Amino acid sequence: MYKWLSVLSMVVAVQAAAEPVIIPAGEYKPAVLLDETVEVVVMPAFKLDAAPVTYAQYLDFVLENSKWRRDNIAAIFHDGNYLKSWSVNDQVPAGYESKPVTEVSWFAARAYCDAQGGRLPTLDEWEYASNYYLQQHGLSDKAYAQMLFARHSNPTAYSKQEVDTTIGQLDYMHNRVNEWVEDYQLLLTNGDNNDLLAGSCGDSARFMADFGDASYATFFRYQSRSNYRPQSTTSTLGFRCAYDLEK
Amino acid sequence: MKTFIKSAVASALLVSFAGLPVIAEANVPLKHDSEYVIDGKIYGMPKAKIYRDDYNGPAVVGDYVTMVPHLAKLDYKGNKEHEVRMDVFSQKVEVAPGVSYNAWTFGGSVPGPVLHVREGDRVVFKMKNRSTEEVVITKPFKGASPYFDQIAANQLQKHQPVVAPMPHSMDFHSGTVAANDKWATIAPGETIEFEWIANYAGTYMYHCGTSSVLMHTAMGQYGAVVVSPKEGYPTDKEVDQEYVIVQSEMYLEQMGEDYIYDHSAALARDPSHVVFNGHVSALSENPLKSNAGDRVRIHFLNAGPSGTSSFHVIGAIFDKVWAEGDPRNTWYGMQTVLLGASSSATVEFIVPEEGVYKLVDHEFADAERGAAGALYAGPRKK
Amino acid sequence: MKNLMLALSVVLFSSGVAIAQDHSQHNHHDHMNHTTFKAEPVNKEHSIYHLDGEWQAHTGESLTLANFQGQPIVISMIYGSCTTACPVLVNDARRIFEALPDAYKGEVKLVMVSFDQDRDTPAALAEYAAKYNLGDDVWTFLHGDDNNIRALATLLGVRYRKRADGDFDHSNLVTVLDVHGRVVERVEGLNRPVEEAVNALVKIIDENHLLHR
Repeated sequence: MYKWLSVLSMVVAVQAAAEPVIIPAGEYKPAVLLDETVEVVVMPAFKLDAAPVTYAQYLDFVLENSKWRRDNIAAIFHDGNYLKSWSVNDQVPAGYESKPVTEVSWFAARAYCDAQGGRLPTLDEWEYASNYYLQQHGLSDKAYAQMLFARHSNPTAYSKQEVDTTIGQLDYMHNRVNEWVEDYQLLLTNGDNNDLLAGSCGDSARFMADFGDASYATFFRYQSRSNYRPQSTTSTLGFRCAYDLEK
Repeated sequence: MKTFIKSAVASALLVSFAGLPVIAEANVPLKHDSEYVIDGKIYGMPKAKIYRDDYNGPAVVGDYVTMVPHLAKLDYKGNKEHEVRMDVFSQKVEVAPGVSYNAWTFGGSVPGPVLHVREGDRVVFKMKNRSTEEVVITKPFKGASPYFDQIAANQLQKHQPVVAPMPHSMDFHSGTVAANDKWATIAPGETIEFEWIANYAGTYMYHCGTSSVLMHTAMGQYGAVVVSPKEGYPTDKEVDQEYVIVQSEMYLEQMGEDYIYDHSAALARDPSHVVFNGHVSALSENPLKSNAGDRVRIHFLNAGPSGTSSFHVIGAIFDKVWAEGDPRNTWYGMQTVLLGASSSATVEFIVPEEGVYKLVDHEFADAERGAAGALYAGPRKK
Repeated sequence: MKNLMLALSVVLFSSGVAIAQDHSQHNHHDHMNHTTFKAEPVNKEHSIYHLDGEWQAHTGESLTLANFQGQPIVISMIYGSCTTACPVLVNDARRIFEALPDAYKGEVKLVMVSFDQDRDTPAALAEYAAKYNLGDDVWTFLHGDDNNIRALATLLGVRYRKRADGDFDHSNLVTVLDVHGRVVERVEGLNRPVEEAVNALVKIIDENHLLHR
C-alpha cells in the first residue's frame, strides 16, 4: 500500500519537475526601505522555482530525508505543528498533492531547497522576482494591492488552491501562500532606534518608499512574516527555492 | 525597603479615602520585587512571558468580561487581582445586512469583549495567538465568562470561525508599562502573559499594535476596558442603567461575494461603514433599555481607527460628562461630546419621558454610514 | 613580553569600545560603521547541535557543532575584518574565561564563528587567532558556508545582514551553551558584566561533575 502510494507520488513529482525560471539581472527599487541610503538594488540573474513547492514534491523530500519526517524532526526546528494536517507520516492529505505545501518551518524549507541543490531566495531576490512577475503580467499597482489584501483578508481560501508546476513561467507569487525567504526577519539597518521600533504600532512611514497601496501591501507581507519565529508553521505559509546560475 | 514601600502605599490609600463613604479594603498590592509606588500608583511590572502551550479552552476568561453594551457589576470591595484571557483569532462577522468580512478579533467579536475593573486592580493577562485555529465562540462555556452567554443571546454578527494565520499583539491603553515588552507581537501558536495595574480610572481602548496598525485595527482588533474610580463616580447611587458603546469605522470593499479590507479607503479616512458596537443595527436591533426619569450612564469609546466622533443623544442633554471617564474631569450640560480616535467619555443623562432616544454620531456623514442607534424608554417607574 | 602583549590588547580593546559607543550615538550620519541589531529571543529547551553542517576550524580541522558536546562552550559570532564590535566580543569571551576559577578553565571552550564565508577562510582565522594571541586549546574559530552560518545565527538569535561593502551588520551577543548544546545564558551588548555567564558555566561544570571525571 505505502509502496504503491510512493510510486504514485513519484509520478506526480516527475510531472511537476519543471525547470526553475531564470530571473534576469536588473535593478529594482524596494518598496520597503531597510537602509537610509540604498534606494536601487542591483540584482544579478538567478533561478527561481516557477511555483511554490507542492505537497507531492515535499513528500518526496520527506521520504528521502527521514530526519525531516513529521515524527522525526528535531524539536528545535519547528513549533509543534509541523505537517500537522498529515494524518500519516509519509502520506500527504488526500487531494493535496498539487497544493502548495504549508505547515513547514523556515528550517524545513531551507533543508528542502538544500536537498534540491538550491536555497531559499533572499528577501531581495523574492521581491525583485515579484516585480518581474508584475511587469510580465502588466499588473497595475492597484490590481496587485487588491490581490494581496484579498489574500491577507482570507488567506486560507488562497492557500488551498492548487498550482500547476508544469507551466514553465513564474507564477503564483501573490495568490497562493506567503513564502519563506532566507533573511525573513525585518532587518532595518538605518539605526539602532529604528531597529528597536521595528515597524511596530504605526511606525512604518519611515520605511516606505511611498504611501501607495502597492507599497503597503508589500510592507505588510514583509512585516507580518518578520514576526514569525524560524520554527513557526502555519497553514498559509509555504516557500519556493532559488538557485544560483551555473558559473 | 519593600516594607517601607508597602506602608507608603497604605498611607496613600488612607489619605485618598479620607471622608468618603465607600472604603475599600486596604489590600497590600505589591506583588513583585520589581514594583514601586509613585503617587499611590504601582509601576515596574515584571517582564512579559512569551511561550507555547496547548491551551484550547474558552477563548475569553474573566468574571468581569462582557460583550458590548453590557458592563459587569463589580461585586467586590477594594482591589482585586483579575485573571483575564482574550485569545486572538479570526472570525467572520457581519457588520451590516449582507456585509460580512473575515475580521481579526480579540475573543471573536468586533469590538472585542469589555473588561471591567476598579482603579488599583491588578490584571494578569494571557493571550494566545490562535489565528491558525478555527475557534468557536457561539457555544456556551461553563464558568468561562459572562461574555459567552451574551454572544449566544445576540447573534447579530453571525460569527463563524476562520483561519487566518497572522502575528498579533495586545496594547491596553489602561496599562502603564514598557510597550516594547508587554505589547510585544506574538507569532501564531504563541501565548503572551503580562500584568498591568489599572492605575487610572477611565474608559480605555485596547487594540492590536502590530504593523500595519491601521490594518490590524481596521480589521477589528479593538475594544474597551472600563476602570471604575476607586471611590466611584459621585452619582453611583442614582444611576439606573450603565452601558458601553464602542464606535469604529469599517473600510470594506466588495470583491466577488466577499468583502475585504480596503487600504486606500482606510488611508483616505473614507469608511464604508461607521458603527456602534460593531454593526450598523447593533443598537437598533437591540436598543438600550431604560425608563422615563432614569439616570443613564454610557461609557463611550471612539476606537477609530482614524475618525472622530461627536456623540449626541437626540432629546437629551448630558447632565455630566467625565472626559476619558476620569471623575476629576467633569463637564456639565453638554449636547455633544467630541472624541478623537481612542478617546472616551463617560456621559450621564436623565431620560426625560417615555419614548425613543436616538444615539448618533452628530457628524452626519458618519451617522449616515451607520453610527446611529436607539435607547428605548418605558414609562416612569418611581 | 606577555605583559606587554596584554597591555597592548587592553589598549586595543578599550579603543574598540570607544569606537563602538561613539558609533551608537552617530550611526545616522556614519554609514561606514555597522548597525547593531537587537538579538531575537531563542528556544532554550532544545539543543542547537541538531544542526549537522560541516565547519572548518582555524586549525584546519573539519567538524560539526556536535563535536563540542560534553562540555559547556561560550559562543559568539564575529567577522575578521570587523574593527569595532568584534574585537570587543572576542575580549568579552576572554573576560568570561578569565573570570572562571582556575580549576574550571580546562572545561570550557570559546568558539567564535565567522559571518564571513568569503574572507574568513580557516587560514585567515588562524592569522586572526595568532594576532590576538588566542591559544588553540581554548579557542576555536569556525569558518562555514552561508547556509550553515545563517542557520546557526538563527538558532542563537543573532540577526545579521551583509552590507554592499562586504561588511556585516549584526547583533552583539555572547551565548553560553550547556553540555548538550542548549542555550543557558545570553549576554547582549558589548563589554557587559560577566558574572552571570561565569556562574552559569560553573553551575554546568558542577552539575555534570566535569571536574572529577
